[in-house]
Amino acid sequence: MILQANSIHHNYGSGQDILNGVDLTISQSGITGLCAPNGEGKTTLLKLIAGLQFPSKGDISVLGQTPSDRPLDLLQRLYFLPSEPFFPKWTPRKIAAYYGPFYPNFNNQLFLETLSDFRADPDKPLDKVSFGQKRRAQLAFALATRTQILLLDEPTTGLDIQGKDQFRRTLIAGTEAGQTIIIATHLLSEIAPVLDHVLVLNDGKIHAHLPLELAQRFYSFNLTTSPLPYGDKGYARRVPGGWLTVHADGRQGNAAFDLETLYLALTDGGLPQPGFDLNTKNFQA
Amino acid sequence: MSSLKRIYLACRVAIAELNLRNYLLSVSILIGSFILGLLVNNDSNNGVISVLRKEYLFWDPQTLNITIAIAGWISGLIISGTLYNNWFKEENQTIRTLTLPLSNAERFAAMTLLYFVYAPLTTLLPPLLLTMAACMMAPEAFILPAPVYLWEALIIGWLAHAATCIAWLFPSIAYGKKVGFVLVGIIGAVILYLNLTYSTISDVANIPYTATAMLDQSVVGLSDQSFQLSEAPRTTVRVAYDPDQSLYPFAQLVFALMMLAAAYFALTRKTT
Repeated sequence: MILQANSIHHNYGSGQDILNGVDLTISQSGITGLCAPNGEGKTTLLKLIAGLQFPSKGDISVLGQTPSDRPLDLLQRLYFLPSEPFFPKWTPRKIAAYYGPFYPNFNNQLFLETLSDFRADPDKPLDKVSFGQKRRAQLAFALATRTQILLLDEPTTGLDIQGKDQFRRTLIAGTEAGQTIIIATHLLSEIAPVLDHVLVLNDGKIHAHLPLELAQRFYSFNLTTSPLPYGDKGYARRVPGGWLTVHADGRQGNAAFDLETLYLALTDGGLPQPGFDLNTKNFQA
Repeated sequence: MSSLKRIYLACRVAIAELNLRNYLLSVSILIGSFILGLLVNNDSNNGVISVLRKEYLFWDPQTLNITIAIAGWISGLIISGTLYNNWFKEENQTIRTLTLPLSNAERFAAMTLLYFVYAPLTTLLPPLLLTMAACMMAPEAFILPAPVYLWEALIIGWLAHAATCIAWLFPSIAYGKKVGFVLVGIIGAVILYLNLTYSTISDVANIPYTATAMLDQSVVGLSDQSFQLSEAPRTTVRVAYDPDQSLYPFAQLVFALMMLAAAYFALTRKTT
């Protein structure tokens, strides 16, 4: 088991739980998108997985270990890139030389290649480059650690189109090497093409945990000229050219699968979710 | 990779993040005080005589030792503060430090080496070496103590640095600004202890100075301008009692345990 969280509760001392009974299981490597409205606990959940916050109730196991103990073996196999990480004002090359050796699987060649693909200069100090360049260097380092679990908080912020494309390609290469990557983001459309699963966090709980491939089979998307009639159990969203509707009916739609619309349908629209049998990999009736 | 290698890597990273100016602090403070010594017109009782107002400069060993120790202590605290700022001050720095692949014991060992060995050495040795070099090269008008008398500065400076770090460093990492209240409490406790260990009762009293007063049986003491009688009415004179010799090792043990406890809480803390 890669990650197992049972009935996680967490608060920051204000009394109200920001996470209110999170149950989560990730048993296979792949890329998981973690989506939630602002302030609903995406970063907190990543911190709990990384052992930087401790749950007030419940327990988490990551690679068979308790993250809050911060065991060395786990820290070597897990890398957490916050949305605004602290990196020294060095060149990326120097950062890799000093911080890379802490990670047993750190691949300096991959780091330099990713930097090159990101069009980031390995010899330019990070205090002399733009925010986007800095973010690319941070991402290149995170990807080069080759840790078994990679936690990325809003990774695509500051990346241009080429940067995002390269980022997605590197993620795919990572999962092919057996990495489990959890990406917390608001910008679902930017990472949707590479996601294997999507986690929707709402009201302090995991509202939905969907394998994307099967979600594409379960939900139908249609572009219509009018909103849904009264009594229709689907969800409609105003888009240029009409309304994009989502139904949990397993039919073929006339529009492409849209993750952001599905997210809205699940959180705001209360669209039903499929029951999914992990063993048979099929939806339950 | 062995634990020693990881501790080395952690120290290497922390040291590499320090700026050159950190290493020049103590020497700058020493040179500053030296220049001040040149400018002021002090008397020989304080150990410094100005070459500008007088004819030569003399720095006695005790004065120089204390100057080096203070310069080292101040700059050691600045370096320790910089290390603390780099690794723990902000949320993201704390995240970086606590997710760095090190065990808690390795993190503690690296920090202990940095704060209690590296910082004091890099701040105390340069002024000491500078003084030694100056002693060998200085013109005759400058009278500096021989290097053999200056090793005391290392001990005094290190003790001052270590004591400050124990009281401030790990507790600050663990509890942030709340530590200020604890430090004020400790200072209050020390003042209270000193007050309690002073007697304000004495059964001696001064009598005016006379040439034959010492012949009297009741005279028990002699001060600058008077004699003291044993059977005179009681008066209040503050007298310090020597504490029990076991107090110092006990206090050191308590401080060491406090540091270990604070380090444990500091290194197993969650982020904010």
